[in-house]
Amino acid sequence: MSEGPKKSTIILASILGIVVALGLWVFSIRNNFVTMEESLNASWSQVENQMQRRYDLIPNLVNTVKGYAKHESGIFEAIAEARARMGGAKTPGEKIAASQGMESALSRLMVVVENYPNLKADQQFSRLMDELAGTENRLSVERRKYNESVQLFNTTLRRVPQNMVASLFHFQKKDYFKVEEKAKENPQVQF
Amino acid sequence: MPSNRVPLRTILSVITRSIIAGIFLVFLCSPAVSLTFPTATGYVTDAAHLLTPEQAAQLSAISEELEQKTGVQFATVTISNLEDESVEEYANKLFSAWGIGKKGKDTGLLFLVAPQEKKMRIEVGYGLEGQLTDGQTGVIRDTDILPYFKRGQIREGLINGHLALASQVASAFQVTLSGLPQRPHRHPARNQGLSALIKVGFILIFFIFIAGSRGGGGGLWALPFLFLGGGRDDRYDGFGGFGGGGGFGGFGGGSSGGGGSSGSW
Repeated sequence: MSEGPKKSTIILASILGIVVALGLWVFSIRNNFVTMEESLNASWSQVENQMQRRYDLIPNLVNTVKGYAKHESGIFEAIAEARARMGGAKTPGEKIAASQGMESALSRLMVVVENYPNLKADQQFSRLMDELAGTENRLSVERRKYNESVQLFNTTLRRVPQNMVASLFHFQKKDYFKVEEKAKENPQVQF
Repeated sequence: MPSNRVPLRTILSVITRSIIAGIFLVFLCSPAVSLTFPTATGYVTDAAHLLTPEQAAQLSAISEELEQKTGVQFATVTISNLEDESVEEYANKLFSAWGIGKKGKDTGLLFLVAPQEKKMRIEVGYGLEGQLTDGQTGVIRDTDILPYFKRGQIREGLINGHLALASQVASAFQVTLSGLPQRPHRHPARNQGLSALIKVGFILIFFIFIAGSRGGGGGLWALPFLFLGGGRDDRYDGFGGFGGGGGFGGFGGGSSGGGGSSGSW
């Protein structure tokens, strides 16, 4: 007689235990996604820092170049336009696009600069170019780290069984920060 | 009852699968190590064999004093080749692989020279970017390093670059390094007329001092050598055996974010 209720208690308790274990497991995976998402956001803000750094450098650079190459108004307009687009960009996608526009405008500026040996000899210009080269390099380092975070996130997202938990909590695939081949050459601002 | 064994088995298999997936994930996500870095032998790692052991020890001693006074870990590294990597990527990866600079503070500095590719880089740790701007490293590159490299005086450029960077960091932290000249010498030819007697005297002092203290900072006393010898001191090669600096305690886990300057010659 005493066997009956005891057995059902054991079954009930084990079901309860399984449910609790399953719940803990689901939440630990969810927390893992949250952690990865936060580190991804942190990497992205490092990318944005470097974009901002370049954005702040450009007025000085343009003014120095203007001192030697006043009549190259086309390139100055292109840079001003790219900079305005950078300033207006809100979403990561817009910022990436604006950043690429900025890179192509700057590489055009570098071509123009080649025609002005006096400008290239200018000390202030050299230092600004050092800062710009450093910033481009920082940007590419942070971009690499961001893409590594995206890769980790997306790989985890697609794996069994994490993918079930991810879809349960609506975690979505993140976009890589791709670089155009042309822009890739640009960080090497060497003289 | 068989009915409650089924969910249990499913759960178990799901857990097993997740463990297996987790193990796979660990393997997949470990960063691809494609570069083989030289082993750090101290503040100065001369894998391209550009310095004599004495010169390496002297530069190490300067780095050691710099770390004691400012907390900045300054590594000078020469490598045999860049393994088809850009000098920027190589320097950045080497920086974090070695962990130059104290963890959390990231006050590290790397001076990397790849003579085969004729490329160099000064990589500044995150925490040092405020004290050592890209413009400043650019000036040092253009005035203290590349002029020598372009004349084929790799050793002189390396020594001068190390001294200039150390003194720049020291002045940013408002400390002075004993034995470090106010300005690195810019005229390597000037001292060639000095008599051999003085050199011998310095060698003796040097030997006495090294014999007297194997400990920290000892090599620093030999610093005048660097300037008297004009860099063509191959005959001192026989003195070897104490490269690496006495007080090097390993790097501290710092990292860099691509600040600094690159150059080629």
